[in-house]
Amino acid sequence: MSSTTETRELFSKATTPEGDVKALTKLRMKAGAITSVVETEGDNWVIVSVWNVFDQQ
Amino acid sequence: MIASRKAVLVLIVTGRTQNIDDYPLSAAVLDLEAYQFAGSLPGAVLGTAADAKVKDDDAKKQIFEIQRKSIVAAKAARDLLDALLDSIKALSDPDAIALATTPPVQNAVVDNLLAARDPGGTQPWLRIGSAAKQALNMMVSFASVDDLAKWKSVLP
Repeated sequence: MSSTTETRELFSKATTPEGDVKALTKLRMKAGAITSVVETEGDNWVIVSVWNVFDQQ
Repeated sequence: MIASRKAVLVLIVTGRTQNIDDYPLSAAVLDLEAYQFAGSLPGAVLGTAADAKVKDDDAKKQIFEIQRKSIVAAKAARDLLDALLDSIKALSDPDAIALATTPPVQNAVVDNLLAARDPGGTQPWLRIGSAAKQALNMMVSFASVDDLAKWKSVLP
């Protein structure tokens, strides 16, 4: 069983400025992501965020 | 170091179950040397880096790829999301649990994300304030722009 979850959010480079995507990573961190970075994948920006399991107690 | 030795030991034990063609003596000797090296100080140093990669690989076992619209990243949406995250943080534990129990919108992607972060399947956001806030953060973070407005209507 995985102890972390990775989300990959794809945004088209044609319609989304890189600055907007980078700014969104800060909100992913504020929401509790362990890490959140922007990668590039072909025609897309990809926000890669890693999340821990929920508090259990 | 222990994890590295165990990893090599698994190779050896697995190899012992194979026939001589599939796991020849030369391979066994190499594995034994690796087993010895994994227990040494240099091996431990290298093992630390290897362990980090294992953890990285582990982190990628549950990957969710989500196609987003550009408007989700636009400043107005970010400002709203920022404000919603602040509102969630300020919720009392009972209010957070109540909202996480009956959110204003249903989202299949979010449901899958919640399940992924709840490997025990205990749904802690239904009874633990901090977990409820973590869940609410996920719900608003992966909401559509239209749904953000619905969240705004139920958060103080």
